[in-house]
Amino acid sequence: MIESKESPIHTNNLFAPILKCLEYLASNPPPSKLVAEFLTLLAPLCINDKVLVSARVTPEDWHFGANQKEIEPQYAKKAFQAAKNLDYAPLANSQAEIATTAHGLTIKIEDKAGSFMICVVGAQEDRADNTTAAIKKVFSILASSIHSYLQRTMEINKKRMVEKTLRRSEEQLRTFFEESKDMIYMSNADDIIASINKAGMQLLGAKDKFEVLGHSFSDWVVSGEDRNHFLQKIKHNGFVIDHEILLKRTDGSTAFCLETAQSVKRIDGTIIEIQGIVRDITDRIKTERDLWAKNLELVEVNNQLQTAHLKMFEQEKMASIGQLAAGIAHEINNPVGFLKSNHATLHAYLETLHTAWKQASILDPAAHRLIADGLDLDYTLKQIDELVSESDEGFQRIIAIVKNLKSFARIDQAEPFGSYDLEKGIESSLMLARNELKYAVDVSCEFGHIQPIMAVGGEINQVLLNIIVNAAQAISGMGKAERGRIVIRTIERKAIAVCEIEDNGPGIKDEIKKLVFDPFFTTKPPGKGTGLGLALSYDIVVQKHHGHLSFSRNQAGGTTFHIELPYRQAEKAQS
Amino acid sequence: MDIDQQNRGAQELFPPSSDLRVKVSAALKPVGVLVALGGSLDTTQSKALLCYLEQLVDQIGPGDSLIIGLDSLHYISSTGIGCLTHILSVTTKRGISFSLYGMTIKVREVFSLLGFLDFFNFIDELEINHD
Repeated sequence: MIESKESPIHTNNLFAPILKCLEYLASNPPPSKLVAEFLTLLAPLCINDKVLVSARVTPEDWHFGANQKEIEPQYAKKAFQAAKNLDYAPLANSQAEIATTAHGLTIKIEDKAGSFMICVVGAQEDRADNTTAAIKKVFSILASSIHSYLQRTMEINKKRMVEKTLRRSEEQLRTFFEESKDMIYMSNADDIIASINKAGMQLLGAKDKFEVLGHSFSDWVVSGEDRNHFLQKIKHNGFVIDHEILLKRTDGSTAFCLETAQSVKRIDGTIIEIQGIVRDITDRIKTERDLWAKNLELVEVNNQLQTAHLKMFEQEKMASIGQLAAGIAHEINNPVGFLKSNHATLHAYLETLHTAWKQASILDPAAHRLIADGLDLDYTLKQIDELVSESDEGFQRIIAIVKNLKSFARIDQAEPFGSYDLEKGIESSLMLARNELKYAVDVSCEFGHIQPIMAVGGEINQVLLNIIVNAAQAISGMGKAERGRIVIRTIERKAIAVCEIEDNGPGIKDEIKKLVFDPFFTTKPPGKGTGLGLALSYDIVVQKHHGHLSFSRNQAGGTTFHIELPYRQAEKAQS
Repeated sequence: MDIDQQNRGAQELFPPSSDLRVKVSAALKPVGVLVALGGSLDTTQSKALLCYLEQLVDQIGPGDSLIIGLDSLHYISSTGIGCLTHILSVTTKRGISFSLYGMTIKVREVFSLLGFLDFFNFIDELEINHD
């Protein structure tokens, strides 16, 4: 009699072979071969679904069943108690736990996938001896089949486990590869792309993988030379970290990317594959660029503010000095006027007396000589002439200072803005400075043939003359045997006319650089300079002409003055 | 500035085996200091170069020039450009004239593609003191 006691034996496909076999066994006495085949049929079922399979064998009958429940406790308990009575080596070697009872035999097999159990139940309890004999008989028939089955099952089980693990791992890797937000690619030793993910396709702008696969990576970079450099690094180090590359997309645009890659090598060191991750940093770069642009703009604005602050300070200072100068000029001018006038009259009167004294010497030479010798009049008259002459010079200097002060304070200035040829101005200034230049300095002009500018010509000439004379005096003051050199250049720079006056004099010391444009500051010996020349020049160029006047140390160790004048002046400035 | 000392410092930071080569010279026209770069200016080298240039800038006075020679540089990363931009910012603050000289077409292209070309002043002529 054949029975299928347990519920899973229904229409499930997995049980179909069992049912078929059971049906067969129901109508035919089961020879040992069939039992072996039957167990073989059960094998995959037991493994995959961890089904508890039971077969009941009695000397008279065979009972087979399958269920998913644990074996009944009383069977298991008895089975273990009687286990030592059965010597069944093949199964013991197959990592199976074998137990027998007076009523049957239990084989519990464990492996990594879980455990399943084959329960072979013998006859009724009151037929224990016969049952044991029957079990032994059955197992002697089934032994080889069960043994090979168990071995095969375990191998298959292991293989399936490994395959499953591999499959899972592969799925994880595939997901990682495909879903990564960065481009991941693999190329062969010749840098031909063999694999690329979705992010890579998007990055390159490719719609079809075959647009990319089979093509050289170099086809996608802006600079093939960079790629070669990268490959050399890979070859040398085996990896490259954060290498920046410029990729070109299918639409012609470029993407700035960061690549980290490594090579897979054979034992002999030859590269089999290059695996790389590429991150698009175009947006990051754009943000950085914008930030830098703002930063540089801020620096520029800050510098302009500082310059404006200094300029304002300078203007305030100049304005104050201008007011002071105006006051001084006014106060000095009047007394100097009548002093000069009186001095001239006095000089004329002295000339008259001098003439009278000479005529007296003709009338009475002896008396004249007596008086002259007694009072040492010859010496006195000579001294009077010298004193008058020195006083004249002194007056001239006072008048010049007052004139400069007036000029500084913009008193008595009426010359208007007009078209002015800077290069002609330089030439005429050189003519005026000829006396200062001729003994010690050679002058060369490098004119850029610039367009005329709008300026007050007389004032610009005064600036040029001041700077040229200063340069000549500085060179002469060095006392060198060889002649000095002054180079004057004119350059047209956008809306600005530039004049550079370069000398090979001693240069301006760092500690006085800030004082150079200050009124009354001079390094010349007393009597040689008023200290107003450069202050006046600064005022003319910067305040009046809205230009720029600066100086720098040149390679010869001397000074180069830079005069920058705008070609056009605003109407307000001109008026 | 002691050019030899600067070169010794550069030699320590960027030995011949380094991807980046740095040589300092005195420039005659425009007057100033020339720092010639060669090789490859990548992310790692950029950090070291930035430190080096910052120290160098400290020794240059307002009104003088700092020129970076790029004619032997065959690779520049965005970090390298960032390094030069930083130095541009520092020099502008200090009133030092900062220029780039001899940029290769390839390096210029990187500057251009990244949009940093307009930030810099370029000079076409340079006279170096070879003493």
